[in-house]
Amino acid sequence: MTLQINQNERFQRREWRLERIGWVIVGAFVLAGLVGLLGTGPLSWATARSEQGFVAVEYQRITHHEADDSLSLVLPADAVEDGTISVELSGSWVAGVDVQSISPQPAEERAVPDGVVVDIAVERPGPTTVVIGFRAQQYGTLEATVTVGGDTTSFTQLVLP
Amino acid sequence: MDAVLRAFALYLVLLVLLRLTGKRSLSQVTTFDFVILLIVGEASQQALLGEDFSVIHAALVIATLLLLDRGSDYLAWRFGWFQRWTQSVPAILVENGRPLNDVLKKFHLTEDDIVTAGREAHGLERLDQVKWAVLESSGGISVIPRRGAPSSGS
Repeated sequence: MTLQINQNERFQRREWRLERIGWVIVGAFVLAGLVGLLGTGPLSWATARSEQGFVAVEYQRITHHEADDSLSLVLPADAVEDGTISVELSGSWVAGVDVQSISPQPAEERAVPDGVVVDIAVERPGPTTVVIGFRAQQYGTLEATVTVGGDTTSFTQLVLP
Repeated sequence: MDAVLRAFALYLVLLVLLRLTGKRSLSQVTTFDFVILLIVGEASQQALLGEDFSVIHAALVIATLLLLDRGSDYLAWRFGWFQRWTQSVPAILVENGRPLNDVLKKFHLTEDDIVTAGREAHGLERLDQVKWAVLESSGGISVIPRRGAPSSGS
């Protein structure tokens, strides 16, 4: 009499091997997540500087769909003109994200073709940082161009599902 | 990055809390324990996901948790001290027919609990039919009956 059992050693060995490969892949996936290849992380943090140094954008290369994200516009003292900083944002990024907040709050927002101009009142001239909180609404790459005082820089964000 | 770190932090918090509550805590799931479990899950959800509702974030959280669980399993298999610290050790409750009362007291168990386990597993009637009883590291009580005592199979 033998044990009535549906055993298959060949399949079992194959399963072990596939499991091992699978766990290596899962490990790589988590590692990629940790370093920032799949979202926020050291490899995702980036800064785009304009040529004359009127604006620097600190952003994430990779962001998630429908997730809170933010970027910072670092503006030097000479970006201020007549008590305001005028930032023009344009490109597919403007239409592709839902802007949740701009801090400090802009005094005025004006539409321009393919984008928006944000005027921020400045009390005392000096280096300022403007933080824009947003949620990506579209998948894929979003491109933005940021213009301050005729000086332009651009950045691209990849939105993962 | 935050998905992995959040999952790691919560894994540690849950591991420490569940180890502190002892072996018996959730081994026998009563209706109330079940509700508590659901609430624990509900409470951890916010901490794990935050304000990120993307698929990739959820996949990262799940992958991290499973990887940690498997890693901890491997370490427990590889190192005895790791198994003791993360999964506890079994404890003898009845030694050769003699209940160890001070051990029972430490685990907040009574002889009733041993008799219950004996009834459920072997159909034993009295405590004197129990030769050994062990509180396993998983939280269950296993009973080895005295020779000659009735067994459910026979």
